[in-house]
Amino acid sequence: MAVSISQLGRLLRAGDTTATELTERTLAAVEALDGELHAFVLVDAHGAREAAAAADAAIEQGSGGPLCGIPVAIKDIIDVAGQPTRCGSTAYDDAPRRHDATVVTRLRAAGAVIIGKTTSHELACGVYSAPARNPWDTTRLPGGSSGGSGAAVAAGLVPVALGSDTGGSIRIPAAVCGIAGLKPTYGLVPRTGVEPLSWSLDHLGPLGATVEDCAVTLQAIAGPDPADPTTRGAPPNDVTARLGGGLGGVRIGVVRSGPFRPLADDVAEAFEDAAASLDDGGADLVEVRVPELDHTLAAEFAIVGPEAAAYHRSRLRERPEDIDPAIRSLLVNGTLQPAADYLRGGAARVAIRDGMRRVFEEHRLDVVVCPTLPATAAGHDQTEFEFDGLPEDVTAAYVRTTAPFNLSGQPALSLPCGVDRHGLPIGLQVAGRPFDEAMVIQVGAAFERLTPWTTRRPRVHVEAA
Amino acid sequence: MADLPVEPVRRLLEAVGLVGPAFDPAAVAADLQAAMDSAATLDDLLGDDSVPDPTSFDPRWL
Repeated sequence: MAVSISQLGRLLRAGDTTATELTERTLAAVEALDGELHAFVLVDAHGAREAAAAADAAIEQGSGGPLCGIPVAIKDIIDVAGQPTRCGSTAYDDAPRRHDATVVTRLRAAGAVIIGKTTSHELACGVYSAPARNPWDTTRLPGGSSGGSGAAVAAGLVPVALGSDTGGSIRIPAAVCGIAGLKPTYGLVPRTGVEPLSWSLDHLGPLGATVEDCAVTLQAIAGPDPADPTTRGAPPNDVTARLGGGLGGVRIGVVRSGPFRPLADDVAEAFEDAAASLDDGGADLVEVRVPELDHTLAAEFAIVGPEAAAYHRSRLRERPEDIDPAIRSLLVNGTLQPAADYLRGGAARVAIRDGMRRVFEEHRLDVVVCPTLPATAAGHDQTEFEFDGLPEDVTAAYVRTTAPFNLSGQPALSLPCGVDRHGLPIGLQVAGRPFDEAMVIQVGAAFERLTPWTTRRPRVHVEAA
Repeated sequence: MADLPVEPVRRLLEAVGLVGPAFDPAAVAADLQAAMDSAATLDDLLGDDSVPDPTSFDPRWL
């Protein structure tokens, strides 16, 4: 198991290590492993050393925030002052950004040491995140679009990294890399200073070694930001409040239908084992169905295409050869498709939200659980899975099980719940009521305590000191 | 639905400034048709008479 934020915090406060020592170890580990993983696109050794020295001074004075001295990494669609934001694309220039994104400002205020920026799939629009590789098997993808963040955390380079999630881009890498990843409620975390893919579906959140790491990091970055009006309605929300809570009396809806079929056999088996563990832990499980979710992919792409096309209009006109053909096709479709299709995508989203609300209310649910993905990590050049003898595009397969919660706006967590026949991680998805991250985290942390999956390490990883 | 005719797609591409070898009208017509077919499947969810207001999404829904 990677060393968690709370463990590192204890070592730092006890004087058993320093932020400077942690930072040097992290920089050395990145130097040693990233030639194989390609998780980072930029390492800011100088900035990290300065931040570490400041953290050490704060710790010595008995001050410092909850992330004081903790190394973190930032997906390269999020602005860090003085560094370029390249969004995994050659269509972006290398000009340094002038300001930190709000989430970066908040991480710095909490004492975090920013190590560098992680690989994103091009324009945050895909699941491969080349050239990044999966630490469990470097012939396989790390997921995406926050693939570099997933690989960096899974390998133990950093305990936590930020990602973004428009159709699953936090939870997909979390699942295939065997770590935790939390997409918060839409509107909880400000996106100021972040390159958008689709304004109405984009979320920012943490990928962490453990659920607790995600919770502590989310607590630091969440809350209203006057510059991001979508956060205006975010209520006060202590997401760490119930980290130690159990499963007794928690009402869990189990979703096995709609986009959660078909599944790879190993995934189906691991999911049933996970449901049994939740049941054994004292939760009340009830099978639920949300028929509206059958329309997940159609609604997701009806919205993403036009919004992405609107944002990247100049880039598409002026540098089309610098955009991957599949993404270019999405942008062209988004430009030419009837506006009514986009609006009906939005209407479908409302219908999906209403379907979710109906199920939560009818069954008095605290959370729903489902597989994060229908399959484990694909090969880095694999384009299709086969389910029940039929081919399915890798991206569509991954997104169909994660996008429901982008559309509904609910908080959704992925955490490890098993391995397939190749030893590759399988993810369990836990989704809660809007702005009830605390319950999602309670269930996830309790599941971690009941099962051994978070303690496993990939082939490529940092040896704990 | 019937395949989109290529010539009007070519003219549309020109009208919105998407010209050059990266924008093959025949390929765009096929991709666009597929995207429109996908969106049309939402008719099964939305119907005609009670389409939810797409501007009414609010994350505070429970």
